[in-house]
Amino acid sequence: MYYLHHYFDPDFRHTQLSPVWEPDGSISSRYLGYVQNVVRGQVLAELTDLKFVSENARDPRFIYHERRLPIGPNCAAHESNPDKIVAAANGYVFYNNGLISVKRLLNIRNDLGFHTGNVFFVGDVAVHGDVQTGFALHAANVLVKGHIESSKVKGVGDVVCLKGIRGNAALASDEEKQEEQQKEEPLIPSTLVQAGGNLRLPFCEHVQLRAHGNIIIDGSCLHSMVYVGGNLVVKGRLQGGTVFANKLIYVESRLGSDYSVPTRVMMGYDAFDYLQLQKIETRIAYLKDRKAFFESMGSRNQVMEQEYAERLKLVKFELRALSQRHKILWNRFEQDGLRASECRLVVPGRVMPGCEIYIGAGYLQTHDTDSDVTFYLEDDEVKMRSNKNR
Amino acid sequence: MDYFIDVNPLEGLAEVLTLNVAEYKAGSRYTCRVFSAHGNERQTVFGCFQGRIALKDNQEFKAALYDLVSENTGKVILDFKDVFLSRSAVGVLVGFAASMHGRNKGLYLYRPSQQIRASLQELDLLPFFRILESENDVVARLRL
Repeated sequence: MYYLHHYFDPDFRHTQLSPVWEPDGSISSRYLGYVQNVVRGQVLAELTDLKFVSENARDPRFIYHERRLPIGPNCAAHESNPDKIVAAANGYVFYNNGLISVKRLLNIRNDLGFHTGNVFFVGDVAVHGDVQTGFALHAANVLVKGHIESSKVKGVGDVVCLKGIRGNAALASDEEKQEEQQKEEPLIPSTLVQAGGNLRLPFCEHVQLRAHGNIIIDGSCLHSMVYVGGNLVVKGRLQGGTVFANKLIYVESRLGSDYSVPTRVMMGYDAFDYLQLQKIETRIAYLKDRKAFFESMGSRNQVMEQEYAERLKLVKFELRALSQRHKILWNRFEQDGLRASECRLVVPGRVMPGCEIYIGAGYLQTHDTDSDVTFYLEDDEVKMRSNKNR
Repeated sequence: MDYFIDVNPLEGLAEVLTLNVAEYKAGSRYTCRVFSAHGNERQTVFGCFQGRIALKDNQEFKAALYDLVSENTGKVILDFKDVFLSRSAVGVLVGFAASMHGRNKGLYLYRPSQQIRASLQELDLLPFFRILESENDVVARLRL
């Protein structure tokens, strides 16, 4: 007689999830444990002699009269120990027709929301509905058949959304900070869609897009921050927001808007270095604020000075480190600037007045309406040429 | 038992961390020491592991990981520089990463060993984890 000991929950049902208790006694509604991740080579179950299993721990369903392993798809017997079942692929484990199986593709048949909680999956995910506001998804490749609302979707590989992405226009948590930021820089949207590979979507509005490969937008891209390592193709309008790219940008319909919404295109430097720089500058501003606060508190009396001394030391330590990283990034920018002359912004459609185009050290602001033009860098100046006679 | 570590200030990071628990369980093939960072916002917890973690240690390893997370925890940094993780232990780590992601808490690996890097690379899991290479990176994750 044998007993099959499981290293996963054999009774797990994704349709019967319950909220998870937090250590402080509260209940997390955002995490329901929707999927049991397993990785290639992980031991899933082990067949042992029944006499080694205490009677209290025995489940009659897993008592076997013969030495037999319920090996299903994407599972295998362990090479050195044939009594163990291991996963042969990354994915999720479940019982299918009495066999332990691993599936690489996770189909979420409805919306990703309160029914599923946030999802982290080591394989590919197809969401058949929407990704609802406030939820997060992290997977290898991602397909969303519905909309992506104000949420965070990250794919290690490609991300495709079939109905579009609409984020929330309100962003930072602190309203005062928002007001301060609005004076200088456009706000960074809290909705994030990130792809390690390519990203394709029909339209987006108030969203932060990041892709190390190419981004193809079949419709318009409105008021969004776009960081792209490869090429960007916008078949509709590119209106409002900022695009950071280092190769080719193609805007088929229209660049800029009628209503003086600032549209910026920044080319010639690595988009993700820009992102790093933005993060570092935000952090430095935050740390300087904290430093001033700790110093003012510490100056009150000796007790307060002792209270805040360690934090002040830490702030100074980090400020020094960040300043160094800031300097290194700027040096890298200078080296990258040599490749800026290869960048092109091609607009077969209309270019509206008020667009700001930065390529390397060059800058150009459009003042008139034009159409069918290409922007490029020559002699450290951004130039515009017409494509009509070519 | 809470106390400040009294170490050479040149070691930078250690002087700002508080040692909460020192665990050296008899019979374990690995150790886990837990530090938490000073902060007035959400706490950053630093779990320092050493040793070899295999299938039979999984339950203990899982418990040690989940013990790092408490009410105020915002981020967890796992020091894996002297750790060997079996595939099953990597599976436990992935489960913990899923839990942290689900709860909107940050998880970072601090200087993982070559064996762990190779394992994660082979399994195409490296992009799922945020890796910190230096003390500066760690300090940048502390909430001040």
